[in-house]
Amino acid sequence: MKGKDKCKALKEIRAKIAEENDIEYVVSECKHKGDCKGTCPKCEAELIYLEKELEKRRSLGKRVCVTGLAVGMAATVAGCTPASVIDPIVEFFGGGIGTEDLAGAAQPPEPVMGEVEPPIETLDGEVEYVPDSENSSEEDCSGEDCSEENGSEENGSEDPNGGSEDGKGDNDIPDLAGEALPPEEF
Amino acid sequence: MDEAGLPILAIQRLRMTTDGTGVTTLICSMGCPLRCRLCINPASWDKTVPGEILSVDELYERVKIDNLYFLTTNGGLTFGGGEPLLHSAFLKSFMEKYRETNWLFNLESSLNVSRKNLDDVIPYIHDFIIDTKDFNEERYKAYTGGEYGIFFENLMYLKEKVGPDRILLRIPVIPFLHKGNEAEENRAEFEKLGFTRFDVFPYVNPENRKPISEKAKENREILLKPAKEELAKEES
Repeated sequence: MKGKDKCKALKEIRAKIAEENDIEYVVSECKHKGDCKGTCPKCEAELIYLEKELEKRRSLGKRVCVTGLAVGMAATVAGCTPASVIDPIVEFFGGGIGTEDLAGAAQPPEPVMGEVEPPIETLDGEVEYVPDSENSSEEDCSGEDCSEENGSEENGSEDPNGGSEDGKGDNDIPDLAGEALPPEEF
Repeated sequence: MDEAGLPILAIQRLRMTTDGTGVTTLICSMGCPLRCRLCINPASWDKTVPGEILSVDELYERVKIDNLYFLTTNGGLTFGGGEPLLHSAFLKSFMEKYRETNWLFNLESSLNVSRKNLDDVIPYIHDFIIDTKDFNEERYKAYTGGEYGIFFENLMYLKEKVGPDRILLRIPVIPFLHKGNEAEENRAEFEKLGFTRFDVFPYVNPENRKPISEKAKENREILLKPAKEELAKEES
């Protein structure tokens, strides 16, 4: 699955989460040219925004619907590859290098199970997602107008962070760069 | 005893259709007891990459960003490598501490480890993705350099413990090793033993996808050299 396809699938998942939980969320079109890893700071900001909005709903005792919401949106493990139609020697020397798109630009190879993918350039920076009418909607949701929605665990409340006593509900973007440590012997 | 940290080759997020159901993050750990001639991640053992050591909580911090994707798609983490079961104490600690996230934990393993390492993780793993390499002992040893008996006994033990439904057997078609329908024959043999889920797929040349080290090339030549010589003889 190419980065752009992945981006589209993840965007649909975010939209579904927002819709099912009455969260204001406007899906915007990605302006990035070329391939990506399927996410970018803007997508991450939207994800963090949803986590925060869900947390707000939980704290207000409202129903939160997350688990299994988008099962059909991400494909499952690919089934058996029909080995009989593939010549492994040809595949070995000619396959897996990646394909060219219609404009002739080289595309990265599709990852295979368990493989560390070759690096792909992605976007850097930090972005905060702010919906157009965030203030007004927050006012509405924190007041008595929403009391009829007040739910409880009996109403199917889900806590995707499994409790927050150890800070698992924090919504900061983790540092993905990391620091290399000295080599280890194996 | 808990392992202090997990040496990581890479953490790759947002994988779909590759390492389990839903959206998954692949956590590739360093180190492997095998030397598969066409290893797709030779950097896990060829010492070209230092790796990075993460504690249980540090690993959680790295992967938690995708919590919503995991939960909504029935996805989660897939532990691969290298051989992740070399770090079974760490994996056990991580999964025990974070099982309440409700993420699914998958394992991709060759099972070529001690029984205790396998026992450590069995209660926590949702799907076992097993790299079988080959059903035939002689070919298994030639291709991996490892002991067939360890793999096979662990595989049968795992089936008894969790049942075949939670085990996906990966059956590779290995260029220069398999002749005719040997990969399909491997599948048939595993089927006779009661396994039900298979992924038959062709191995790719890792060098076609990314640079690999001289050490990895030397390891690959153990498989390719005799095959190439045989081909040359046939042509002459």
